[in-house]
Amino acid sequence: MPAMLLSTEDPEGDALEAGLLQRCRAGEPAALRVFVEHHQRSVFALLSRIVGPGPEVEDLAQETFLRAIRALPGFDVAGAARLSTWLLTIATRLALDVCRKRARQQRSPFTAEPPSAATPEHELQRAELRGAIASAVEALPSDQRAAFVLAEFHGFSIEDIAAALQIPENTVKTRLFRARAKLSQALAQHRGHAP
Amino acid sequence: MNRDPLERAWPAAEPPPGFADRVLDRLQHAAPEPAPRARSRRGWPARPVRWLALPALLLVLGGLLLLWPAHPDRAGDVIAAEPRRVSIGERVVAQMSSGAHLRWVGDEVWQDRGEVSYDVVPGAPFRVATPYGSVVVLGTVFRVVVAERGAAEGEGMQKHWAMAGGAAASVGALLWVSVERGRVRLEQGGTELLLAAGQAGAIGADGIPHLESSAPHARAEVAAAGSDEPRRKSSREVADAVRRHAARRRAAAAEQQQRLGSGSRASGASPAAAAGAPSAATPEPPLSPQSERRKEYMQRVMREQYFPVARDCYQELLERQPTARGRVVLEFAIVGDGDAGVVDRVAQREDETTIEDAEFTLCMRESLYTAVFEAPPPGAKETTVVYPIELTPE
Repeated sequence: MPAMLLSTEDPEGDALEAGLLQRCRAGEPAALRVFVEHHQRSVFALLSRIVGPGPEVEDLAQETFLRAIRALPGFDVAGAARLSTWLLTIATRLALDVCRKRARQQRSPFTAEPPSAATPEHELQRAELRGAIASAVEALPSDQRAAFVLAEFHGFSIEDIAAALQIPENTVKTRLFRARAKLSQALAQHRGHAP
Repeated sequence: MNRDPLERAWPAAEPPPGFADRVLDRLQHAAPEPAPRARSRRGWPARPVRWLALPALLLVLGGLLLLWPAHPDRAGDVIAAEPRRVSIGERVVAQMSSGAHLRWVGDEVWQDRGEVSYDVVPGAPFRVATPYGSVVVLGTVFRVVVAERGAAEGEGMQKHWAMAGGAAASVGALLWVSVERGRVRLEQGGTELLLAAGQAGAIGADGIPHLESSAPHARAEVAAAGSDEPRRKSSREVADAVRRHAARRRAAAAEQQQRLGSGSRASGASPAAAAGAPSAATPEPPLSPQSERRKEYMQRVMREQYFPVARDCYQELLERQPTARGRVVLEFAIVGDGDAGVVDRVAQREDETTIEDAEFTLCMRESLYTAVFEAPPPGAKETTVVYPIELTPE
């Protein structure tokens, strides 16, 4: 499955990671800046899709990079985990922590924006589609949403997701099955209602 | 699933300008140790006044150790005179309460006494050793409370625990662990206990890890327990207790296997189903204490992890058949997967299942794969479970 943004299968990304790591471990500011700038889009994309839009996304992104940079000396280059996978794992766990706190407070940032009557037709359709997706996404439990985002948008394997979420691979499959089914249903319903 | 409509319809946030600058700025200013806080973590109780009575020498020593360098060290030895945070290596932050004592070399940590909350960046294994057992980190955020050496022989231990730990429910607990996120394993001798998020476990004077309740009434009970603390056992007594416990576990496992093999239930209890919700229901012969504990454990895991998902299956069925009710009997195996037990080979017992809806029963079976249990006992390849569930609409 082709991955969006910074692919974990991107050979260019590999070379960049390998070269950067030593300099980042040494705390070289220029290298750390490159590291952050190289990975920031994927981190923001992941976080915003799991926790929803809002100022918390940048807070979480900063926390993700701070934790990662502090832990970089312990990152095993020869290990199974890629640097990008490891970084997104940290982001995912921080995001799920926020989702659990929100669940206790019963609040959600996922809102379907009502389409404006003055919007051109295709924009209206897109707004309706966003609304359908937003509703379906909001209905997904955060754990299912995280598994889905990691698989569909970041190219994580079942094994990687299981490691990131600390759950068995069978559980990952079940969560993906359920998330895909619900979102497919939302998309199908939208197509059914689309003119 | 076609991603294009998703990507268009589910846009991601872009990093705002200057994001990298802000990260580097925080990195530069985050190095100094944060000021000690009156409370170590939101919702935790303040340390009891009795800590103020610690020997003056300890306070002086603690004061000196507060001058310990703030940056992460490969090795350290800290006695906290007041709540403080220390970095252990590169990926562990420990929030110490007053009186807690930590020593570490690399990722090997010795918590001699007191209350410490750990936040661990996932990676290589991380272990906290205590005088009463070890805690192996499989997850990220957990809390450990260790009684002072010899304190169990003194007066008012439970009272101290109730105030210090805030949720040390067990009378006589010497090591108490609660897991906020991820998983940890509590170890003593050859006995292990896997704790998931939201669970607590303890090791008492018998040296046997066990699950703990952190219910408020339990805390009250502990606080009221006064000086009825059992005498702390010697190492030999603890070792004997662990051996006896291991033998009991083996006997219980054999008994369980025998019962399961003969088709009896591993679960069940509630005679009446809650309205609109799945519930375990079953008949049962008298059980040994070990089997009773196992049964209660199974019921709790099923209730906490499986029933919420199974309820969705039933709701979907009710949308198709508003009066649908009846019984589903699931048979499944729990197999070891690292430190956890995961579900394998879920089937429904056709002759005992009374709801005939293929979509519903598929949903019930598939959903069971989400549950995570303790790993099967050492030496056991798997545990087979037969679990009947009664379903009635509201």
